[in-house]
Amino acid sequence: MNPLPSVVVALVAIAALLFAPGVLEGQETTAPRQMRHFWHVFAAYAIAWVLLFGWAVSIARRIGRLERRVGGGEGT
Amino acid sequence: MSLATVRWGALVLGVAGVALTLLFHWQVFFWVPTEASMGIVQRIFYIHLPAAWVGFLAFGIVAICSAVYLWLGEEKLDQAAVAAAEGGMIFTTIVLTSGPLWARLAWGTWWTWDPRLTLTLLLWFIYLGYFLVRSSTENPERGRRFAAVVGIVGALNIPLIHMSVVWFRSLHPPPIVARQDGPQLHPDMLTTVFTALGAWTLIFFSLFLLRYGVGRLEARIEQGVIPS
Amino acid sequence: MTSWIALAAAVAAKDLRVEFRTRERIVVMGAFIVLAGVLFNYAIDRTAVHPREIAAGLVWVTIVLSGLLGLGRTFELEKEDGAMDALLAAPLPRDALFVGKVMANTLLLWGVAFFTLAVFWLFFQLQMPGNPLPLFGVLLLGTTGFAAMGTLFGGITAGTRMQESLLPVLLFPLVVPLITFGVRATADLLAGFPPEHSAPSLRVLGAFTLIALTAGVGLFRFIVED
Repeated sequence: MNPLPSVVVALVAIAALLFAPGVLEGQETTAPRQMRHFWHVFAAYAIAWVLLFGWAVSIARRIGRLERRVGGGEGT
Repeated sequence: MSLATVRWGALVLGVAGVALTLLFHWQVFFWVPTEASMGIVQRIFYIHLPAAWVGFLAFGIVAICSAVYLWLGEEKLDQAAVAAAEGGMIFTTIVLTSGPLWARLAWGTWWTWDPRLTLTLLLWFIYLGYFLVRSSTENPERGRRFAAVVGIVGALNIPLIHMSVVWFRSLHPPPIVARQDGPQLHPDMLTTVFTALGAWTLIFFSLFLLRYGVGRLEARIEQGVIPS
Repeated sequence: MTSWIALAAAVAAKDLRVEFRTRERIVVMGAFIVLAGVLFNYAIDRTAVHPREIAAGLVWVTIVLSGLLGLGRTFELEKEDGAMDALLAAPLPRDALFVGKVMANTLLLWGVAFFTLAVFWLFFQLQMPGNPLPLFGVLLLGTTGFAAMGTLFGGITAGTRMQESLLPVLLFPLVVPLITFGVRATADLLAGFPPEHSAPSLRVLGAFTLIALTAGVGLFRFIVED
């Protein structure tokens, strides 16, 4: 399993999460304080998701490594 | 506990945890009323507080497993301690990032020397020491013993560290859920916070079990019980 | 029991004798303290704040940082020529070895504390309280706990690749109570408050020292056995 695609997907997801609220910030004239609040809430939740997801991915990769060691012993 | 049980337990807890997570996200973003004085940013509270609880719970598991590991010498207890420490690191990081994001808008400053935030920061560094000690020893068995000592002494010191950080005056709101005269919170907010707490406790234990199972498996392969 | 104490004292005497002959740690720590005082002098804007007003904090930070230099090298000697194996092979309980090491380190840190106080008194015109004994008590009690904690963690870092560079990361989060309440008591005493005023801080320092000593006595054998 090549880890590259999953890394790219994760990076795109992080970028989307970080920049999407930035798009909203363009409308700051209407309710700047409100937008700033949204931005912070989204950032806090996004960081939490990324961290938990990252932990799950790191465990999954450990399992993958073990499976390759046990299953594909002859190959390596 | 056999590895199959561990895997099933992780799966069941994980599914339940994800379901509760979806539920509490719906509650946070569509259902719960907006807090009057702090506004929308107060919604960070629903991940901040549960993450802090789970982070401290994880530290308790690390300390107890470390102590029993040193006492009985059973390697699986050390693997449980590592699994809990990894989770504790993740959840304290969530506390340390969501806290400032909230504080900036609620109190106008990114960082305050608030007792509970400071305690979490120090806890984070004790976890860091726990992992640094493990990774910088040549003999893994010795690394496990060193890390266990770090975990135990860290936990013994927590009450004193707590006293020190409390001594500094605080901007942080006083406890609003864990109070003797009952929680002071809108009932819908209380429901949301308990859903979030349940969700993250379940997710923590699910990933904790998975991580523990991986550690057991690695050790068995190392010892040649399972041929590689 | 007496022989246990005698054994611990023998370890302490050995460490102190070596220290006084080589004078490695003493010279480095003493120079550190004086030079830290010089740096503080240039770092602090005297028109804004007089160093005397923040002296308690400076004294404790200097004690902790210079103490770290010495504590990190607690087991330096034992690493050479298999001296640690010889020490462990000797009919010496592990906890007596720990207590002996702590005794030597404590005496060293007591010296550090008094020297720091003297240097800062000289540099920054500290005003000693009429009865300096409570102040000395705070310094002695706090440094004893610091020495116990530092000896335990010095034993850990001596067994790692990172050596003593790991020590601050492990030790700083744990000495927060020491700094908080040590500085508080020291500042109060320097400001002329009666000693009773500092009793709560002293109790916390005592609890810290007790925890450090019990943890070390109970856990030290797990970090030296192989």
